[in-house]
Amino acid sequence: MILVYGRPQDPCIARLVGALQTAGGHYRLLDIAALASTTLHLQVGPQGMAGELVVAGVRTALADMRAVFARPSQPTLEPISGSIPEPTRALQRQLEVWLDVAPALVVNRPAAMQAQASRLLQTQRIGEAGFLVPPTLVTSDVDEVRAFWRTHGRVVSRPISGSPAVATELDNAWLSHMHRLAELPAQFQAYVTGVDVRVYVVGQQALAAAITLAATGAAPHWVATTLPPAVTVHCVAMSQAMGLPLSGIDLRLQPDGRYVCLKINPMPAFSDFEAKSGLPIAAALAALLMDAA
Amino acid sequence: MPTQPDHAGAGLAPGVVLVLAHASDTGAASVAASLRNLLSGLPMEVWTVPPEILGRAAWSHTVDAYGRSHTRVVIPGRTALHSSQIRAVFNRIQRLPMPQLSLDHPKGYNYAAQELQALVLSWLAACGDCVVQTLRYQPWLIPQLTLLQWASAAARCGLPVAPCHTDTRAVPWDGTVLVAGTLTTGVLAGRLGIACMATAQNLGFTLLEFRFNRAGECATLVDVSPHPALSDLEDIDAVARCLADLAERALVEETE
Repeated sequence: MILVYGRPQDPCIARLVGALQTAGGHYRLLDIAALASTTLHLQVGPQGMAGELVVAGVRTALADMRAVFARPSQPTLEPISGSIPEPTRALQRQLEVWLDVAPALVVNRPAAMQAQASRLLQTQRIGEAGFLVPPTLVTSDVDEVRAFWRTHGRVVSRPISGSPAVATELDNAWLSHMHRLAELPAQFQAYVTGVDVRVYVVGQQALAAAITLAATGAAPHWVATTLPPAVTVHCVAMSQAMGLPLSGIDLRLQPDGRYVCLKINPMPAFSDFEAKSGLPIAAALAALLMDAA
Repeated sequence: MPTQPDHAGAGLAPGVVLVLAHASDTGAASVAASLRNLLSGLPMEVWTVPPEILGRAAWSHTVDAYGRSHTRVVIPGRTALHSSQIRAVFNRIQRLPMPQLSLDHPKGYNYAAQELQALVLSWLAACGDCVVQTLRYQPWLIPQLTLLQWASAAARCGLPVAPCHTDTRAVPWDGTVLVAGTLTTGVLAGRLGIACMATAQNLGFTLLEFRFNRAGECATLVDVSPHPALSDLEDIDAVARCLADLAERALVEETE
């Protein structure tokens, strides 16, 4: 049995459910909006962990759930908050805890996604995995920023954490408020020139598309591409090492032919990308889950 | 540890064992005192740094194109500390407050606090396995360990786990086993120490306190904490020796 946990109206969930139906996969959808009518019974004892999930009166033993796709929200350094009733929030927390230890294929485990909540740490880990990364500086010192800018020519500033704030290119306007660095260090990265390549790792597969810029003003579009075998292996190995059966990896192909890894998204949206690139991501994900179930 | 020892100023500086602990953490203070005794005679200093001060430090953290990082941090009242100087870290951070930003700063306090947390996390993660707790296997600055995690791991390793639900309230305990690296202490260490150590390794933690409820000859595991109080002298000594071992190993690796 496959558990799909999230919002049915989420286009990624909808595509996955469609792919599972097409492939004849046996799944149960846990709608995050229906958690008020859901209970999770978990016990631990000398024999290990056991329990059941009861959704609208239908009971399923946790041991029967051999694969899970969980896309309740984006990972964040902050705990779950907001105007959610406490019992529902407690159930969300319980589910997250179970997803981290469930003896099943979980796409993706919350702890593995949490590790990506610091972009700086992510950059270090991408480098450890053997990819080139943009040279990076986090500093409270204005002179260091100026020197870094001189060295690299073009520099972008982006949050150190997983905060959704957009990256901005360093310019003269930046210089006027550099004094604020003394209060709060900021992250700067060398701008990497080249062609954007997005790679979706699904289990052992790497599905890639390159962005093609059309005429000025026209929307960019994605074209499916084939990665060099070594880069494919690297993407799959990195995703596995980070405990992510599914990931979205942003590469930039430099004019000299080398790939630089800009970031890895631990819960990438794929519906729009799939529609534009024609790459069968939902089908690959459904196959991965069905193999485990 | 992916460090670059040739950074200016780091070459001749002594090695440092960092104890990141709040002023109220008397257990960590005792460990620091014990560490100073254990490391006397070695070219190493023990620095006790309250986490509250990290938000007022001057930071310079670089990652090169190959992902190798180096950090230089100037903590108020101290000389610059390079990551290549760090031999071991005892991370007892329970909160990481950010100083109030000036009124004209466009970023909010919560954003600033998240940024500082991400920076400190990256700094300590780059120190690798010389940090207690290591951040390699659990990505939290403040170690998190849920009942479900420790109970399932303990059951797998053969510990007598008390039957419990995730909403089980705290059960009283009257016997412990402390695991600090390869050392174990506590009244039940002789009987259950090896299984406790296996559980800690399974969970990716260097330091854990296993709490048991004893009824006659039977002992059942009722709680596991990654943040023991460290009030017992034997526990303090074990943690200090664990950190000293890490520091000495780092020193040997550097001289090889």
